[in-house]
Amino acid sequence: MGRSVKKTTIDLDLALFRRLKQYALDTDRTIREIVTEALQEKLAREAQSTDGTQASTRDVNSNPLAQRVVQEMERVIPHDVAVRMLSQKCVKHGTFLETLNRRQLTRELIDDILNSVQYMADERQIAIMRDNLIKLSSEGGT
Amino acid sequence: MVFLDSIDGMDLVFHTEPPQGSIILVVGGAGTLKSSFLYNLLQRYLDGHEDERAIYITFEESKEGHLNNVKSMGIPITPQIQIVDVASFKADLEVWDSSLFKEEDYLNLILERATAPLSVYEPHAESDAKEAEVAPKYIVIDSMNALLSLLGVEGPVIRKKLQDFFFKLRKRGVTTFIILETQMVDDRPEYFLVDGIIEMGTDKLGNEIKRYLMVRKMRATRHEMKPFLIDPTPDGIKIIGELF
Repeated sequence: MGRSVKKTTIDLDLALFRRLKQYALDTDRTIREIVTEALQEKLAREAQSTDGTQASTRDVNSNPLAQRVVQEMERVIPHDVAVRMLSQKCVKHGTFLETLNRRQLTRELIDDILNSVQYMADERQIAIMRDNLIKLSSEGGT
Repeated sequence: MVFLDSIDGMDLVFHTEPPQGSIILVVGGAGTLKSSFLYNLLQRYLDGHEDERAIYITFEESKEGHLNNVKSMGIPITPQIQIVDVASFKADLEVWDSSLFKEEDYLNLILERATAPLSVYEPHAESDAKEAEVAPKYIVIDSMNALLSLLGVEGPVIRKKLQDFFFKLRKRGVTTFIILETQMVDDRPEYFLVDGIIEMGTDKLGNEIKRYLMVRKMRATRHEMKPFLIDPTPDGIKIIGELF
């Protein structure tokens, strides 16, 4: 897959860890797989709630690239919808709003965004948005 | 002037133009040409005003369905009227996640589109630079029935919400046409909140059913209050005289 990973250490409550280990044995999966899946589900749920919107807005504000992507989307959909949508798209494409970088702003992610907003703009606007997003994802973009 | 310089025969109905920024309700039953009339009105007006734009927000019918309907009436399609197809957007969202678009987002969408210049053209080809300055002067909301059902509120709450919403739209100076489909055109709570009401309906004239248009109310405008016959010709809609 080529996706980068980051090793981290977290302290878990002993009882919770035992349940996790047992669950991993029962389902024949690794702890890493279960924790990753649980985190992704939690973050996707957060992104759908009102509190999630606030959290996502904070994430966008902390990431200039995400801010620029949201600005592009805001041309055709309201700000809050753009933030929620981008947050969910990021999770779907294996990244997060606060850490989204140029490399992760892939053509697939861009097409997914444009596919969702296509009804809210005309073809010309969508083409221009595509150009702008591709520029953002490229090395030379700002 | 969107009323006086657009559809043939509108000068029989209107003697002066409604002020820019008016909120105008277009009411009538099914099949009374409300959507086509508004598209035709704006298309004819914009045809002579190349620098101006309008936005048509459809909450009920798809863009394709709406444009097919307009085309079938002999009305030319113009890129100066941008169709915002919330109906398809929402249907698509519901397939994968309905929680993305919340109730309040529908009103925000209209308010944001009402003021947003078509700045999507801005960072691009220099030949499009002029379009960067263009904000829509006219908005059509099709329809109030669909919008209200999406808002999920009822009674006095709706009235308050609409009052605030119309206040914000007026402040933006965009003339807003709102389609309301109803057979009960006589007394509606929405009538007190808007600046103008155009009724579109059908009536029996001899053995024939005829379509008519009548202005029930239009603030700060001189207009007739009689019903006028509408003729959907192969070249679009025309007003051809008084009904009786």
